[in-house]
Amino acid sequence: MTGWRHDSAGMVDRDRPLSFTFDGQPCTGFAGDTLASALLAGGPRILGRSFKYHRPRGLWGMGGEEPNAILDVTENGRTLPNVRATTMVLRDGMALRSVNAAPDAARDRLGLIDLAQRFLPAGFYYKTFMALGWMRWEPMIRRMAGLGVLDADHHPPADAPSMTAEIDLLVIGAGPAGLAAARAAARAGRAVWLVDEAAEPGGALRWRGGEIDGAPWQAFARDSCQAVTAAGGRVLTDTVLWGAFDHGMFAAWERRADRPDRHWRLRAREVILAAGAIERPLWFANNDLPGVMSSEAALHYLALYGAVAGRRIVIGCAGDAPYATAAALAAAGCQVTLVDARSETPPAPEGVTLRRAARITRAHGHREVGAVTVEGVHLDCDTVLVSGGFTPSVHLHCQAGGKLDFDPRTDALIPRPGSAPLLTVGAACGAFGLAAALAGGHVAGGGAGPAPAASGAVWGIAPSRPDPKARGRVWIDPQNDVTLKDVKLAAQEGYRSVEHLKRYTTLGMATDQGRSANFAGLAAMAALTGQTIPETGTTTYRPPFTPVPLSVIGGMRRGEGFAPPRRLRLEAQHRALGARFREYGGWLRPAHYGTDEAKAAQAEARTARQTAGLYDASPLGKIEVLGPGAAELLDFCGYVRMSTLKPGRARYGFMLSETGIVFDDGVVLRLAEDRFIVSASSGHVGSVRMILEEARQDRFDPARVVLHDVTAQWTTLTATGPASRALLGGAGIDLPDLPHMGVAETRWQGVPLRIARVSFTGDASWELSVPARHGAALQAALETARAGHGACWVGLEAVMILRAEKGFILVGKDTDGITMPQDLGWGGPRDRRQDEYFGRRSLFTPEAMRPDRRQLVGLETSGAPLPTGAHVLASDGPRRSAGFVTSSCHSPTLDRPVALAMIEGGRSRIGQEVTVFHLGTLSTARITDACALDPEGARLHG
Amino acid sequence: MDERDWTTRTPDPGATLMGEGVTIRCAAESGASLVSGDLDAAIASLAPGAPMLGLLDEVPEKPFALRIARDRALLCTDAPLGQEGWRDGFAVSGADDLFLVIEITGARRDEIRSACLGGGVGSPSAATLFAGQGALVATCPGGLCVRVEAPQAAALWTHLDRLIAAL
Repeated sequence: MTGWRHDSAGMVDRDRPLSFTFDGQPCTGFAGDTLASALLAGGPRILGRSFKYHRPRGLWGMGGEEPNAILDVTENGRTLPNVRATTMVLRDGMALRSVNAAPDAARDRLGLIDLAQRFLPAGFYYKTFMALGWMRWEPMIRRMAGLGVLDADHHPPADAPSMTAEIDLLVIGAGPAGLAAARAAARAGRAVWLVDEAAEPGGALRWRGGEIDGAPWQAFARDSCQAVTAAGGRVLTDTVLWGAFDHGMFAAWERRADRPDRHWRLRAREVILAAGAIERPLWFANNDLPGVMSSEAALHYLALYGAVAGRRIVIGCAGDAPYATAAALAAAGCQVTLVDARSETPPAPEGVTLRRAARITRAHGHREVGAVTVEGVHLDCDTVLVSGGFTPSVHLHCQAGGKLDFDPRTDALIPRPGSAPLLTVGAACGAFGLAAALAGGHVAGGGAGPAPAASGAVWGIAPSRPDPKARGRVWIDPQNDVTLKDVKLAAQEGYRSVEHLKRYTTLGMATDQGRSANFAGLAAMAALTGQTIPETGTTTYRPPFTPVPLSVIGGMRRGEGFAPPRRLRLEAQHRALGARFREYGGWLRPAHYGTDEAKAAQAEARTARQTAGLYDASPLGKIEVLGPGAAELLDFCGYVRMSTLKPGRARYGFMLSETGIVFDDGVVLRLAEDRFIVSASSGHVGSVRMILEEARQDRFDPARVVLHDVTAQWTTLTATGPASRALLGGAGIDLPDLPHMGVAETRWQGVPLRIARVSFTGDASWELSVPARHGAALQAALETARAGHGACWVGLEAVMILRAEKGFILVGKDTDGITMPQDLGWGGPRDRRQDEYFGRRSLFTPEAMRPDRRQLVGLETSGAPLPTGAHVLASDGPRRSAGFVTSSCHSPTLDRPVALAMIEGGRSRIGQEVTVFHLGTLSTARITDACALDPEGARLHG
Repeated sequence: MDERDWTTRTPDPGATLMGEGVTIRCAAESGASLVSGDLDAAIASLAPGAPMLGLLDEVPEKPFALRIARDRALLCTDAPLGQEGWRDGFAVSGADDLFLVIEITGARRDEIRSACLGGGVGSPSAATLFAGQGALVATCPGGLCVRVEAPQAAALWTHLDRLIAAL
């Protein structure tokens, strides 16, 4: 522990001490601390181990750019992995654990790997383990190199609302430039949203301080925020803009202490980016030792938290910015030496030793920094603060499609004006210095009159770059353990494009997105290849700007909220009858009634065959096709002609895809000359409607035919079985004299009732449809009559048995992506129809005409039912699949297994024995007709 | 066995959710019909003077029509029309039970709207996605008026219940 807590500096609440642990060791902090500030003031220096070499690492930065202080945080028994210590507020009782270390950061056993570092250059794993079998070694390598550990028992609640807002002006960043822009725009009457990732507006003013318009900066910030809210805008703090997406959408993560976080999708008419800049490190040997950290971060921790980085401090720099840090640390009682690479510098702050035209060339120390070499001179110290210039935060600009230009004045890549649909101001475009930032923001916000006034010139900066000739191990990207030597190796091996450099070395690919590393990497590559920085270019910036919890992006649509199924209006009634529910085709439907699925389904199917069964068929589609052009539309969209159907009748048919594949099947009811109802499969209603709608609009006169999907308007209950007619009579339903496939519209108890005599079971069946609000009454009437006829309610599992006994297909289960209607025994329309219909041409291709196409047949076997999906082996030649079992069950009526299968040339092989293969076992079966029960159809007529 | 424990339920008309600054109430639709085809002729014939409303338009006293597509609308009248089928240039289907109406009122209704509605303000069609569910969305005095197909009402109702606790 080298850091310490200043007696009075900072804004933590010293009356509220907090206890926490780090790697099991007790630590204390104060309310208002972040994890980082508490650790800096009173915790150990080694906070983790590096990704590859397991080098000891300490705190570097103050925000999302932090590459080292990544912790697993356990609170209330739940662990959140990979938390950046710089961004999480400390709470009492937290247990912090370093990542990638065993047993802990201080005593990591794998630290020995660093001794072999010269044998582990960039690309080592690719080069070595591909030849040795990567899959074998990968698990071990991944265990050795990594981040935090997921808590498998931690299921974050799905409680993060996904908010959407359309905004007049979005200002990203509430530092001086952002505040000035927002204030100017708000005063002009614009509705501004001002968004900042910090808990308070102010940006660097919060730790650097300053006066604006002759008053403390806080007054300016307060005035700006009040102007924003008064003009109808909003100030969102603790909110990270993490991505810019197409069509002007920005994504933001709002952290909230007392309520669930929120995720925002923002669309703004105009955007001003004032995201500031991030301090760069300096590149000397051992620049990754704990105790080497950002100069700006040290000032941040001192001013906001009273956490002081060390006592004997060397600050290395080549610009003006760290002079304020040096002054503040000296005033706090530290012994400070400022090492400036420039020969012309501002005067030394009071109490600070200034060494001009000098550079740090090496840091010394085994586990943490203890000294530095400056121009050959050894200086003892306990802390090294560095400032190699600033990298503007241009990520959102680039994500929005913007380009960058190199600005030699600031030695930085800054946004090219006009190259992205947003305006960048302040430090994000290289305006380093309070007055420059305020002026830029004021102009961008459309401010009238003079900009807010502040003293202070633009910071002087001299370029600092990694020296390819530097000796020792110089870290470019500490989080992914990329050294200057790795960049040299990449250049030597021809990976000279920055994109190749990135992938070869993993430079910039860690959770910090290389925010403090990318510039150094491309500068080193530029130096090695003799190119300029603009010629070298940058890698592609992609969201997220900072790691965002998936629970925030996923929002509330998880668990039951993820792809929720549609619900029956009679769900409560079915539950009261003991139904167990399952999702079928996007609907939650009764699978069976009772607890034992297998027994219940068999019993229900048996009862339905012997007496009667009742089931809820409401999800079956009810797409009304209305108008004088209705029959013509259905003829085109269907495989079976419907124009020849008489009113009051129904007909079974198929809908094909353009490729002639069976897309859906179902019954079409004709209620009148110009009114049909397409009864699509419950899971295909939307897509069938879209096929009909597309043809309606593109091929036919849409004024002559329209579609209404009224599926949800009706509750449909089906009675099936030999006693169903009597049961319906007992329920007070006066059945008209309908033939099989007859339809009637009548009334029951004064409400509309549509009766369709169609069957999915092979038994006499009646589909009864009433407006949904009357469904409960109909269900109650049927339930009252049910017991008297020995009937039962049947779930979908029993219905599956009943239809399989009859060889009735379920599209998508008994068919696949190559099944055509002739494969199902429905070749008639293909042979007879001369008119055009959807999918017709594909039915006559050589592939469609092959005689050995897989065809629907039945399989008869003894013993246990065949497994669905089992393969039917070809009878000759090498072993191969000639088809597969599509449906299989035990038939309670036949008291034997029944199965449906698609088998090559199946119909011509009826009667043959075949071998069935499943998971290494072989069995035999006999090919039969698909219909195993009542092939004459006598049962249909009751 | 159930694939999962389904805790959500379709709300009954009259059900209410109360949250800080927001009240959500479920109501049954009455007198609603899908009309398609020549909408001008349909309105002139079935509900003369009924305005055609788009997304977030304020609903007046009945009758009014919520546009769903160029040639399709939900016509809301005081009583069921009872004229189903093809008429002269337009078609009518009863839709009293197609939708459940969810009314969202209170000072925080705009936050609910922000959390459920993905932009699209100003569309001539009232049909949109509301909390991921297809819906017809208009405004009513003091709040939002959302018509969601009844089978999807459980999902929306549950989402709103959780949302008012999370906002």
